[in-house]
Amino acid sequence: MNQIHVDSDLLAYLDGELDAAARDRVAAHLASCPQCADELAELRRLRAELRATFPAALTPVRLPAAADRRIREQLRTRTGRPRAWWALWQWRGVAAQVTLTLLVLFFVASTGLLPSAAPAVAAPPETLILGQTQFAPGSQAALRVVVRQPGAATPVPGAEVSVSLAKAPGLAKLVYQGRTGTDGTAPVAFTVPADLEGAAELVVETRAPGGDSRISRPITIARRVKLYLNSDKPAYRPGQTLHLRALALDAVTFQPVASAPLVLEWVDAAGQLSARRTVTTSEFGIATLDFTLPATVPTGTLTLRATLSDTVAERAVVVDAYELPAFRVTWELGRTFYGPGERVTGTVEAAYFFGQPVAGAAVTLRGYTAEPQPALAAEVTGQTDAQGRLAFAFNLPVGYGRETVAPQPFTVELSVTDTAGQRVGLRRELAITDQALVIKAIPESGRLKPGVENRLFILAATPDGQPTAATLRVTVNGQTSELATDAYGLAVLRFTPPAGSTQITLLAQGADGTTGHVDLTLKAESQPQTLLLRTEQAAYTVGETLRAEALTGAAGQTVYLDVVHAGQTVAALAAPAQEGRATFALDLDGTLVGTVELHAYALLADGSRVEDTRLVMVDPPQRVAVTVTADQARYHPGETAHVQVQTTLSPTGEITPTVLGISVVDESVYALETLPPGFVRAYLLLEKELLARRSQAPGLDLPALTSGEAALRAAQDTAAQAAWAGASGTAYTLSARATAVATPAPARTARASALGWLVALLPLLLTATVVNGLRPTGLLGPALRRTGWGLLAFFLAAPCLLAALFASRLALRVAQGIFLVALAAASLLLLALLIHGWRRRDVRVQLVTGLLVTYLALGSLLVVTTGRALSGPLAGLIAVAHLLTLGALVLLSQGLVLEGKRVGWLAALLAFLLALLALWLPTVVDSTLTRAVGNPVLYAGPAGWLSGCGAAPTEAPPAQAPATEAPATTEALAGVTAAPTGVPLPTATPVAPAVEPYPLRQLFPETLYWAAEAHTDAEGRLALDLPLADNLTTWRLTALASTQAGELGVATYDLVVFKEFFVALTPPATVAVAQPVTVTLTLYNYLPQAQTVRLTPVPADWYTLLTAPEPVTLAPNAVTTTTFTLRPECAGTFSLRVDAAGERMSDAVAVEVAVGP
Amino acid sequence: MCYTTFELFLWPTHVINSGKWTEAQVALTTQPWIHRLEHSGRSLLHALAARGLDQLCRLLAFAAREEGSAGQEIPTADLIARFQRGQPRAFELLYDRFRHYVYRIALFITRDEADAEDAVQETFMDVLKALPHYDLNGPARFETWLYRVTVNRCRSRHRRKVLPSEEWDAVEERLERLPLPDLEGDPEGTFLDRERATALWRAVDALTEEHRTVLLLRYQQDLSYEEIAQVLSINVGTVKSRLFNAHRKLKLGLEGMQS
Repeated sequence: MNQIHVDSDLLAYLDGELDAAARDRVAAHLASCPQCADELAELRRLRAELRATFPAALTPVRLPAAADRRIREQLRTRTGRPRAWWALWQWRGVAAQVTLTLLVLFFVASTGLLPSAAPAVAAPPETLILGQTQFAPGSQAALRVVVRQPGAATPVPGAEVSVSLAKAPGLAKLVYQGRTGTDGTAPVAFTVPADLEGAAELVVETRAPGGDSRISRPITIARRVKLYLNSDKPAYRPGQTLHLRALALDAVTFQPVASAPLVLEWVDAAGQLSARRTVTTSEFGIATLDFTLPATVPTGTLTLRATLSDTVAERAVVVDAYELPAFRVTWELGRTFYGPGERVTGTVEAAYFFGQPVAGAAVTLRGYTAEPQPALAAEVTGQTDAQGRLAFAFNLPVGYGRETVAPQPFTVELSVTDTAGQRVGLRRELAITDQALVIKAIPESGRLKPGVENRLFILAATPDGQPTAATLRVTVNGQTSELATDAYGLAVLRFTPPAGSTQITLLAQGADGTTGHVDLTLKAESQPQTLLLRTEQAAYTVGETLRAEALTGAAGQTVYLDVVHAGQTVAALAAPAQEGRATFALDLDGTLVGTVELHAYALLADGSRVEDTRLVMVDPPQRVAVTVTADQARYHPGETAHVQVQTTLSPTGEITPTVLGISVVDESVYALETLPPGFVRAYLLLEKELLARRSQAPGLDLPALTSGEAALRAAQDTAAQAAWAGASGTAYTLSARATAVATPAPARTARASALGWLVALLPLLLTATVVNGLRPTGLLGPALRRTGWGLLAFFLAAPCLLAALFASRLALRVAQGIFLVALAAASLLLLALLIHGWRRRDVRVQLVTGLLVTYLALGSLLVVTTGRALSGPLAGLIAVAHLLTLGALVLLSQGLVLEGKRVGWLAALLAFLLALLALWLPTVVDSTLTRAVGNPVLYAGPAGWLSGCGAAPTEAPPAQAPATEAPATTEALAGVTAAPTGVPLPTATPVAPAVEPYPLRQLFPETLYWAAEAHTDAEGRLALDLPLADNLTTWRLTALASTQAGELGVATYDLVVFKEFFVALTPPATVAVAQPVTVTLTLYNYLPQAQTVRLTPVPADWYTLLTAPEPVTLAPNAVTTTTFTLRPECAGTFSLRVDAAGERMSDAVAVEVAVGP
Repeated sequence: MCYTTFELFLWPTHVINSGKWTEAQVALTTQPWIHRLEHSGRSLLHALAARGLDQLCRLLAFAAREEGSAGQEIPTADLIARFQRGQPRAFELLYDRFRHYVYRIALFITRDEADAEDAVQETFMDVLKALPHYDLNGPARFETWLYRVTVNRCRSRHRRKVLPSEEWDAVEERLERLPLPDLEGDPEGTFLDRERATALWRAVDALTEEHRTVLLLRYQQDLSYEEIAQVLSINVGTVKSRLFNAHRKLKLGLEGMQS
């Protein structure tokens, strides 16, 4: 028994703080020691009392509130927490939820989906559109868009206007975005995308405070071209080869249209389409084709036709078994009009085409009256002198043409027969009238415009239409003024006509004392309002400024001026009329070359318009000057002419390489060609209508109008203005008027952008949530890595994938049904994620899905309602934010997958679906926002972004380049041969006879040389070696030059081929087997001495000579004929050769003779 | 206490005002992954030097709190860790949790209200200064460390004061006003007799500061010998003997009072 008391351990024993040994020891002692047991009991009690007393005494003790506040304050100053933030922080959760809910409600309410929406504040405005449905790719275009209040017709300023062109639904290209000015019109000007061609949709959307409107119209985007078609000759014989050349220039820029399929065809006189061939144009816009006319082609007018896209150019040539004239006859008459009984005087001149005068030719001149029936009224005969001239005179019948309303025609026929019996006939009509001067008055607008100053062009002309200088006495409504016409017979009278009719009396006195008189009643236009447009000039050069003024009766009205070029509005100007006058200025650049139409108009309250149209011509700043020089003045047959062609740009003198279309044709063929050189440029620059209107001012000379001489041009300008007065111009093919759909919220744009910002910021929040949710699990890094690799793989594949999608047009032509299916699938996925989040208590997924739902809800709201009001940059921001959302979703999915949650793949699938839905979105709702979000480039990875994400919303990559190297398709090939594009060989290659002492002449082409596309060197030079054929004639060389910049020029040059003695052999047109044939030989001797010529038909198997030609003695400058007879023995084509051996000079000629059965 | 985000918003105002609100927030924001999230969020966003975004991140962290694991008591260690990670709010929560304990100790030792308040303030200032370097993985509980700081602060004050304050007297008076015991409800007779308790308190009051402190830590703060040793920076044997002596003197004092 241990008697040592353990009282000092008892407390620890009670508290259980003793180790096992001590505890056992104490327990053992307590069992044996009652004293210690008592002690323990007492201690236990005390302990229990203390345990109760201490809390009872101290637990109610709390730090006094004042001290608490003081200490807390002290601590806060130490820890530095702002109190306001702390208060806010206490309520942050509630605030966030309330704010989000309020925001959603606010935006839903503001978009008018709830009935509590504010009532409309303004009446819906109306939108008027004027333009053309034809557009040229890559060109500048404009559109008139006017937003105004209906009824009062007050303009609505500040209305948003956006114009887009859509090739297919959802593929719209925004081409213009802006606001209307104080005049209610927006300066809609844009460049038509160059890659857009074919049928398309033009969408004009306007947003005004009172409402929105959307006008959509089908348009055609097609390259417009100007075609100039020419052939080597104006007339052909059956069996000849026709050389065709077409020059295609862009109607807008006047640049050559290269690599375009151009269809060349010809229709014969019977209306039969005989051949068609598609030729690809060269880089200079030239297409060329040669074909041989069949021997059986019907004679008459052959129509050549060139077609490029919608443009057709035609040219008529004559097909006939013609005989070329032996010489050229020109005749001059003193006047082309005469008074009754007057004496007609004139001269006739005849010259052979090789330059020698036709001396001693018999001339017969007969005059016929036409009324009441054709009757011979005069006859003159005579003989030409050594120079080939003859002066003649005869009197007109006294009573013919007197006191008639219109000039009476008097036909004069002329017949010239040379000493060889070759005859050439001409016919001309004279105008016979006692009215000496014809006076015409042309109001500058075609009709008088009442109330504003009009210009009246007064034309004084001779009865045959030739303008003449005259003094004029003009009486307008009782007021008389004196005027004088200029060299082109024009005078300009300025006056302000009243409404209704205006009486004008015109008295003219010509320089030679002739007089004219006319009384006119001109009716003024009866529109409710007047508008008269006037330009300073009729013709301009690129670089000049076109100034126009519109005169209107009403003050303060907006006058609109549309500039139309090549059928397309290129500028839409507007100016307020101040003091009845609105002025416009337009800088003319290279895109306006050609005819420019100016449409001025004012809009009336009922949507109709008063208008006036003027046409002006804009000349390119430069033209090509072509200079042709030859090494000799005259050539002998068979010689080679060395011709130099030099092209420079005029007026700068700059040297430029050009391409030349060169033809060298026998001048005798040009008997029918009436178009003067230089016409080509005018033809291409002017509209057909203006060309036709030349007759309105006969003094107008188109080549002169476009010439560089200032004085000539100024005078011609008035003539042009007179000629083109009242030309109607292009009609507005696109005209629309729409009243806006009322929108309830006036400040919707601000709200839309606020909503836009919210939608753009939500993805940030989403991404932050995902990142922060993954970070604590330590899986952020691996998830990021996985996402990164995945994105890299996607970025590498995306461009190909997208290209494939677009190539198949699969992604674009998606039906709305498929869109809805995708939408449903996405919604299901979202729901699955939401359920997962709640069931697995995964707060991150909960939060992400919550944010995603909010984002999608607000985003859809934005797209459906106010998306169109968004600005481009904000839309772009939202598009980027959408990418961020997708990225965050993918990241979350990878994080979840790494955590072993398979639901992660659902998130990835959702991201993919959201991307697809965004791609398809523009097909469902088309707006700036959807185009930005649905821009395929956005999903094409960095390669796509670099290739144009920063630019305007772009189209799909072009699916396929058009096949430029399409093989030529031949539908009907009747003697068509492919045309060489280079410099072709001359059609005639002289074959030098081996033994003859004098050269045999046997090749007589009408076209000596044809090169459709001859390129000059860098200095603009081209050297031509032309081996001349055996014709004794003048070859007319025509060089038509065009540059790659579209400048044009033309020149002609005559090459004379001559020989002092030669013989011409003319077999009859029809030769039959066994029928005796008389062959005529014409001998020309221009040697200074007379000589006797022995003529020997060279024997051949195919004929038997019946009578041989007699030797002929020729005086100097003598032309005579002789004949011989032969009988063909067999059918076929044979050569008939005659040698003419002279004492001083000999000749030998061979021609082809076709012997029929 | 498990709250979902939405339940929190359904709470009536009086609950929020009662202080349970803060508790709930604390409960929800002390999950380990939230700490890391906040921390990483800070480091991420500090780089952006944007306080607004910091707040946004906090909002997120709050919204993203995990449910289901919030216990009755918030681990003090978590609060310390959060403070050490740079969340000043955690210190206020620590203060909220320990201010009354610290005040009780201070008042018990100093017996003076003003001194005690000053001691509390000084203690928490000391803690604020020292807490960033506090080793969470160390052997001592935070409480023992806090009490040691408190005791040291109080001892330095106590030496300057002699007379107990009104507040201290009020403690004794409170014992005198204890309700009469319900005899039937306490068959073991361990109920607290009003007079006996007052006598006992007086006896305790009569003890030396050394002995009173040991008793306080043992019976008020319910610390083990080991912890008491840590608070007072003495060894366990000393605690044992000091407690034994305190009890012995208390017994003697009570006997003296009764006699």
